[in-house]
Amino acid sequence: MRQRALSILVTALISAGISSAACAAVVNGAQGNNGNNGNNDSELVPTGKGWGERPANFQGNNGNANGQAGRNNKASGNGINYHGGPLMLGNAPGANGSTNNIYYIWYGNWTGNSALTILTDFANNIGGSPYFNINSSYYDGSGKTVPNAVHYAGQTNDKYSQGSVLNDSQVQSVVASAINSGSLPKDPAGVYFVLTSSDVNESSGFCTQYCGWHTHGTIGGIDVKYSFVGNPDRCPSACAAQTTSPNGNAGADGMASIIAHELSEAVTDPDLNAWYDTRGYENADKCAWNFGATQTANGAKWNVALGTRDYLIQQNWVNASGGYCALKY
Amino acid sequence: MTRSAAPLILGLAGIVVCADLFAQPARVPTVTRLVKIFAELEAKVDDAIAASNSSALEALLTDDFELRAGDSPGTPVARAEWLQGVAKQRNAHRRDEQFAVHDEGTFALVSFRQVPQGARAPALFIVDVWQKTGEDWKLAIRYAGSAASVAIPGAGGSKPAIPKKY
Repeated sequence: MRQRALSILVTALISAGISSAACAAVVNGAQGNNGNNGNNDSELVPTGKGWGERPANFQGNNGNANGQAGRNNKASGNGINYHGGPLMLGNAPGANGSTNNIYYIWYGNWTGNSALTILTDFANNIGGSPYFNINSSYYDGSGKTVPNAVHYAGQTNDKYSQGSVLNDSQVQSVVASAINSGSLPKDPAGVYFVLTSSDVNESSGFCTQYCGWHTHGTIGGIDVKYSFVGNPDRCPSACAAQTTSPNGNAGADGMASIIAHELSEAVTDPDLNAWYDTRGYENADKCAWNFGATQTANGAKWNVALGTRDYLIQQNWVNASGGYCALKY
Repeated sequence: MTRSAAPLILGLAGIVVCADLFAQPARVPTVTRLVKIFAELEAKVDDAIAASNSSALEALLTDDFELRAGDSPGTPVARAEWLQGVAKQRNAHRRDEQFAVHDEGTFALVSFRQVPQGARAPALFIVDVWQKTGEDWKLAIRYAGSAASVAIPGAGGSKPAIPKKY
């Protein structure tokens, strides 16, 4: 009788322990936002005991698909760590294996909006720039780096197929629809941007918590990387750096910086389990809303020239020389 | 039946706690300009309390600041009383997370979850009302209550289903 009771107790504790350990893994991966800023490479890892511990040896890599910290992460010494997941190394089909592709899905009503040309020009010129070259300081477990190449591979329109208030799942549906209908190709080396017009809201926190986000999901049997970027005209104080902008369209100019942010994170942390710091910050998060040295023309600040246009783009984190925010590398 | 259910119930209890954590997107940084601004202001409040720096803290408050606590919302805690109370919180470090900022012109509504560090005290859900005074923002009202999971009519249906990063 006592033996049976003991058996039940042990089983119960193990059951609870397993749950707690799983929780600990999540908590460890979700360290808070108020940590120190920069080069603290120490990081909690799951122990299987229900609490996290500092790793004894900070080498190797074993992240998982949930973006949780691996048991043996690699510290770069640059304030950001590699967690074992894949990077986007430019394996675009038909593009000699050296570029990543980006696609735009113009969602809502963009008729007559100069954003169409401003952001298309941006997409056509960010690849190969000293700015995007910052991402080439990130590498995978075998030392392969993100190429400084981006190919603007296509665009399509979606006139409110999911209405004017989107949730996260509907954003994925927009991407899936564009791919499954053949409007855009199914491209594992692509990042698909859902760009919404100013009358469209994203109900999971656009304007109050974020201005854009990126993630990945299975669409048509492959792992697709995609991003939501809303129009800052909807909330200039939250998502636009300035109301007078270099290309005369504050919403589009604000979106350019957010696209740069999400694209940099997508290529260095596409499955949310590659490069991020002890607070969970990806490379662009570490420099969010920092613009560095700017110039002013016609009342608008700008800091990066791409093609024939000037843009005000946030800095990005260089994974070298101890790590720092910069506009070029 | 009862005996065989015991481990399951305990396990589920752990999973329920875990599920609450899973419900929050992992490693959520803040990216709106306003979230960045007000997260820094809230950190100043936390730091001033932890350092018992009353002059720094008072500089962040409006003259008629008050606290409304969830267990007694009809009894406001006035500025002086609140300052006296938090003075006992020296070296109490907190982590603020899951910020959202609603811009209402000369007011900003800042909500977040505050987790005490190194203590067994429960997490709080806080809504701060910041008021624009000149070029500065000052904390005018703090609404605070337990962040424990309770049934709230209308809540629970819109938790993030897709892990994402900002």
